[in-house]
Amino acid sequence: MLEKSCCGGNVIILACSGASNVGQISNEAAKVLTNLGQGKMYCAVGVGAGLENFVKTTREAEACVAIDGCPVACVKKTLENVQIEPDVYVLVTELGIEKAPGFDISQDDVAKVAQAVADGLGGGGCCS
Amino acid sequence: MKIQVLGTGCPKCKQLTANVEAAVAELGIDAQIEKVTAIAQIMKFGVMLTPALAVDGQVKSEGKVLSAEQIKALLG
Repeated sequence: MLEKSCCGGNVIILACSGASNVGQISNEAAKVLTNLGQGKMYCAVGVGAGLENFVKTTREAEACVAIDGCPVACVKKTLENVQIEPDVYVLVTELGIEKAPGFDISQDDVAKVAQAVADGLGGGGCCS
Repeated sequence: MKIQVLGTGCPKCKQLTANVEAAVAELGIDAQIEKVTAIAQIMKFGVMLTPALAVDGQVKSEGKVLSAEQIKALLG
């Protein structure tokens, strides 16, 4: 049985998880990054709802990662509403991935987004 | 024999690499040790937790820092 991930640190990862291909890529990338120990996916909706504990946990994280699927930038605006600036911000469509209706996503695109976040965190990993 | 350590480069990944190097040296075997840090490559192994260890392309462990002794048993 698997025991634990690489490290995890106190890095909060918020993905827009929106209703489009790029939203779902953001969601999958957040899951991959969590599994690889780069941080922990957290509920962006909880922060958006202004729930005290969610906002507090995000604010107190060592680093906050925001992944938006498209330029509507829901996660970034959600954080702005509670005066939090992400330490790492990745916009999926800026990586050459086009927004399209439907939920067909490729693992190559997920990896590209996850790698962009990992590079933004320093390239060496969550706690190096 | 090709041994690959899969991980993005955090201390546990580095420790696993060091343990692999120790195990290979103690066994006196001819093995190529490679660190795989690119997420796209790690995902292609189907690995869900890191650090992970693959031998000749087959994933042998995930999410653990195996000791040199454990690695020796795995390679032996």
